[in-house]
Amino acid sequence: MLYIFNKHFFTMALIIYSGQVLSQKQMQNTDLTESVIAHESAPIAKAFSIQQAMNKAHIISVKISPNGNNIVYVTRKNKGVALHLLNVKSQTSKKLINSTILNAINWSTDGKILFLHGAQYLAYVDPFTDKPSPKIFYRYDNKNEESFYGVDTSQAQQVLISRKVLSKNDSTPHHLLRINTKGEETLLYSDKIKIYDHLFDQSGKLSFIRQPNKQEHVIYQINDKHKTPVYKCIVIDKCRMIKFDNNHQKLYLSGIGDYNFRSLYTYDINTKLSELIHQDPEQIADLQNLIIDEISGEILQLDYHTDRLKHYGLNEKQTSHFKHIESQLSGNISIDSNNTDNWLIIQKSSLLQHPKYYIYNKINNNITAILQQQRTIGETLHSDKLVPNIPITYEASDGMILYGYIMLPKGKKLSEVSLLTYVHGGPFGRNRGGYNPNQYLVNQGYAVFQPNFRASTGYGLDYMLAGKEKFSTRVQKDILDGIDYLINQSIGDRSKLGVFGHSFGGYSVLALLSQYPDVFVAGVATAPGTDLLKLLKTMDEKGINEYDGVPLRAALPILLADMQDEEKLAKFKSTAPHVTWNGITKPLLIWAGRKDQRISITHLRDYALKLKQAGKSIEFIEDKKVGHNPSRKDKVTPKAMLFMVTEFFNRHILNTNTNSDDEIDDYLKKYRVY
Amino acid sequence: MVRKMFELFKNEVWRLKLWIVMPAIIYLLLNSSSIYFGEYPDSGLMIGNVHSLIFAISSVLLGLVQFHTYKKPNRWIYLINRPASTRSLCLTLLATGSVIVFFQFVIPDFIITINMDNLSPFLIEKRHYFQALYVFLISMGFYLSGVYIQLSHSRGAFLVLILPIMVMTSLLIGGPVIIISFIVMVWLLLLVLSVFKANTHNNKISILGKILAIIPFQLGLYFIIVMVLAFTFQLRLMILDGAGSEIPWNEYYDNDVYSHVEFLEGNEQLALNLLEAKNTTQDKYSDQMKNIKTYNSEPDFKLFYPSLLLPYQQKIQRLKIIDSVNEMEWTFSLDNMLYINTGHKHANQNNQLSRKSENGVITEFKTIPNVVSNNFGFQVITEQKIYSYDPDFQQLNLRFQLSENESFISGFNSSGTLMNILTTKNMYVFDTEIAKHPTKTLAPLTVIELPGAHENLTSIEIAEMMDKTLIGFLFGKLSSKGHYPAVQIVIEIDHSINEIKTLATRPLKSGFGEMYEMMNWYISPLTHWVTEYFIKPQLESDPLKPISTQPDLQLSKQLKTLVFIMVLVSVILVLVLLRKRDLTTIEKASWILLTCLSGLTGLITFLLLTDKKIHLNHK
Repeated sequence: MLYIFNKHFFTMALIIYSGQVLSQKQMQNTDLTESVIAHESAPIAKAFSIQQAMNKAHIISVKISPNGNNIVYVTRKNKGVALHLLNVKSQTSKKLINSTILNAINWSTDGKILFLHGAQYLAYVDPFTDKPSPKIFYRYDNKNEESFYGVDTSQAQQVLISRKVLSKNDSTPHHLLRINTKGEETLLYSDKIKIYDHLFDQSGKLSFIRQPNKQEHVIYQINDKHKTPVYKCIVIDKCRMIKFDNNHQKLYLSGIGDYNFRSLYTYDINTKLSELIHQDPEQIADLQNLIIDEISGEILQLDYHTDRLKHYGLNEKQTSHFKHIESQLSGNISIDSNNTDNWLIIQKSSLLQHPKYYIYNKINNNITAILQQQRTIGETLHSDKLVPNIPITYEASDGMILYGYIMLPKGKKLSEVSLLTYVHGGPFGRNRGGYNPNQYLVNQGYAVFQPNFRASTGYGLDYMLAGKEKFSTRVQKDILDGIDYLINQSIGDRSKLGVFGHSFGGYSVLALLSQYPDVFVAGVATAPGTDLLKLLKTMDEKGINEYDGVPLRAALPILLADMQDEEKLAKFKSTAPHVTWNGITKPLLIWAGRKDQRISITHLRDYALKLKQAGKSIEFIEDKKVGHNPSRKDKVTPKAMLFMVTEFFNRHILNTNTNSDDEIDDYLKKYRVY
Repeated sequence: MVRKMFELFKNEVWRLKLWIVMPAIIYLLLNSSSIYFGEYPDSGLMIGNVHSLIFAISSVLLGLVQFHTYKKPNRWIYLINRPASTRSLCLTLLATGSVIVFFQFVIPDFIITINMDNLSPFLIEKRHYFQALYVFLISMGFYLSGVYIQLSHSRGAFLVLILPIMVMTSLLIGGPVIIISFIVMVWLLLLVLSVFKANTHNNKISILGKILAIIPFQLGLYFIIVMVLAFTFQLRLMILDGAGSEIPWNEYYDNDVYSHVEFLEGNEQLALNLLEAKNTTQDKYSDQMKNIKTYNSEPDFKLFYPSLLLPYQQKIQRLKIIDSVNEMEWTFSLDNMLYINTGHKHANQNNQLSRKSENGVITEFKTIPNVVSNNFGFQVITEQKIYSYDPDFQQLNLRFQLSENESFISGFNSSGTLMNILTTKNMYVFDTEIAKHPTKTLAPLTVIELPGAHENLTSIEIAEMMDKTLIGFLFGKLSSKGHYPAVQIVIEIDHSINEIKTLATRPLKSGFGEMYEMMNWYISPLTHWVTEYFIKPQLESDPLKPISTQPDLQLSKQLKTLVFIMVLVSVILVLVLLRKRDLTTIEKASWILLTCLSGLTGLITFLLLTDKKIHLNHK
């Protein structure tokens, strides 16, 4: 038996697994009795600091070579990063280079060199020489807009670049280029419209492209630089081309197509008919990820994120490998399968602050942990300080089955703990379980509920669209239904409820506090929208594009509301938080980024001021330097935001103090308006 | 006699009354527009130059016009036949001029300053009132030059203008202009007195007058010769060599010449420098060098502490912090030696900004700091401390401190993921991400000792390669003057082990030989000495302690020989010409000595100042 975790970890994994099995079979409210008993009887977790909750992993990135014999991995340094090569067989590792500008890595298709990406450069290095020396072969052209488009899998050692020529004289400014390691470029295609997806034939010739029009995504077949439209995907379906079966003239696609779930299907160019190839066998989740062998064209792996990430092959043998791995490792397992004997596995879990890495040998079905020593360099929280993120299924008051996750504090009577609800942003997004810094709140003694209310993504089209026109009403009721369900499961004290969320999550906080003022004790809304309709229209006007070039306005009637139906729109508008603000009676904290392109800072200032002038309990923090979200490199803002949430609930619900540090104190001193 | 002098004075003022009105109106109009645009109290060099131009033209003309009248014999006789000494007569006429200058420029300046002090939100301090004094002195300098040109019979008399022009130049480079302009005024006054007296004594100029005239003649000639040479050289490049095609400036030079390297762009400097590296190093970096982007840093200021800083000079010092986040600005108050909230919407002159002591008390600056602004924000820099302005707390945070024996010569420069700062001794490299958080004192990632003298440092080119960081130093700023050698040095930093390695050193040709004709035609050791020690003392208060790690460049034998031959020829010519001059033995000896010291310019000065006897209104 593989001994991967300590005893405690294993018990927790079993709890999660039992919950999953139950939810799969019955598709009704998850019974959390065993989880509650296990958590209540466990010793109280040792405390950790906010800084520890935000610790970054020492290993940043891990990639297996196409032949499965080598792993390249990037580690964090005091300044910059270091690139290493690990031989899978001998388990020996050697450092290749240090770099202050390296952002990402990719193996070349032939696996002989590594492509290195900096913000301004493309370079490569031969990792197998004694003294690896990187060679910069391309510098992004500042005069035009250029971005890395991936390794060209049709070529041994080439990459793809997308370029937008900024000269007004160019009638076809969007270029797709192939660059070799000498920096020589080949123009593959140029057009008036940007290319968002592409497919090469076996000779490396561009055969299909996907481009947007004003309403949808169009797939074109390319013949001698002439394009012919062959297929269309709706605006919210960024369909991906997988391969083209030339013999049968079938295009393999992953997308929604004619189905409820994002699936793998084919489209016959001649007959114009679609055929389903693979869909989530549990009929819960969308197809999330797909791996294809670039040489043989064989589809190796299909991933679906239900309560956890699950993997399937198109044949039983392949699927059995995945099931074996999933049975051995808990949490969300990312598998990088290929047509070689060794697969790379990345294990992410709520009990692992930083991922663990394994090699799976297909011949002997062995899972071997790798990079264990490197992973522990730096500080990572021990799993006994963390709690599992338990997937749950519950029935909403209108009968719809909903999903979510719950984290429970250990060693406490759960019916007496404060239950906080974390509402995810979007609303077209989802919680995925796994580790997140909200573990700090659990460590402070809170239970944290993360509902995937209707309108969340990943559970099919019907699930996502079920929230249309009801974002301030039915969607909020889903959250309350989830809280009711948890309280019925003896989790949370009804008099100690709190709610917090970012972006749409913040919108939800404002809607819940104003419409259900007696439910929550306090709420924290970070970068919240106050008027979803206006917000999305503004985003559209600003050209903020989330649908691969199709204007956002094309998606609004599908996602948000029938924009022609004045009655529905009026109802929608009347329930928005900027209208219902006066209903708020409980303490509220609002955080806003001054440079937010989505949520206008003036709206939030007005909103907060209205509450303040009306004598409500409102605190307002305005970060002058941040936009909608803190940048990836910003270490202080996310930490300060977590502190704000914790401190606010500690003050209003638990009546306890919260430890801060100098950076947090400085931050709040700077940005607290009132 | 006093009454008669006063009458002369009164009549003279009345005669020139229009000279008071017209320039005063122009000056008032100019300043009114300056006030309208909010520039007058913190007027920059451009405003200062426009003003100086008005003072110059108006005052020179005043001097010429006033004394032109006395070129007429009847007027001159009427003047000198008064029962008064020539000195009294001269001083009375000059007093007239000074009064006119006073009403033309000083009174308007003073009125404007008082008004602004009491009615505007601008910070008006002692230095603004001292500006009126400068206005008077510089105007008098030009006025006296005009008078001298009119009275002197020398063909080179106009060269005396070099003296007030030098005062203006001193303003540009931040010198103590009040003192310099006062000295120049006294100098010119003595010159005018000597030449006035000469007009009444058969054109016999006193020894003192001659000595006083020699220096501006020397300087003026020197600058004319340099300008003519530079122009000729430029013309040759443009017309003959360029032949209508656009050729980059540096392409006129071989690639191992400092002037070629100085003007290279992109990563060319570094690539050239690496040619001197070992083959293995060249191979290692050759591919990266084709595409690498480099960042330039250079010493961008010198700290200096003049006793009085005029408003015209404050842009040199950059005294303002513009806080765009809070829509306010801070101006350094020289009276209080700290920043005061001025201008814009939220001005409150009671708000003070300065260094904070450990117990949170605001303390004054000991010296005037320098403000640098770039993408790192506003940095307030003193000799050994650099502060960043934090708009959130509206305070200055100490970011980095040096030991006593080194000083900053730049603010923080951004170079990719790294930031650097230059001092007289070292280059300090920081992590950009950490440096951006404004509250903490920074610890450098790496400290690199400057591989040459900081005064000679032209620029630094930084390239963050995929695996290492390369830094190319270009030295040679002073090499054309023969102080230090011109050289390129490239070093390699491995941040992971903090290892610094010199990869290549590339000596460059420079000094007298290279840019000789264009930039530094040192005709004699004296002119060399003048440029080095006469102009430079205006910056003598510069606190920077030169730290030379390289020996001074020695003058070449050819150059020494050339200078010697030119001086010898000049002396011989003077000896020959002296025979045809009616001079005393002491005067002859003085001219020989001067030519020995100053060579060609001595010879030309001799030719200009010892012409045929000229009598005022001869005949």
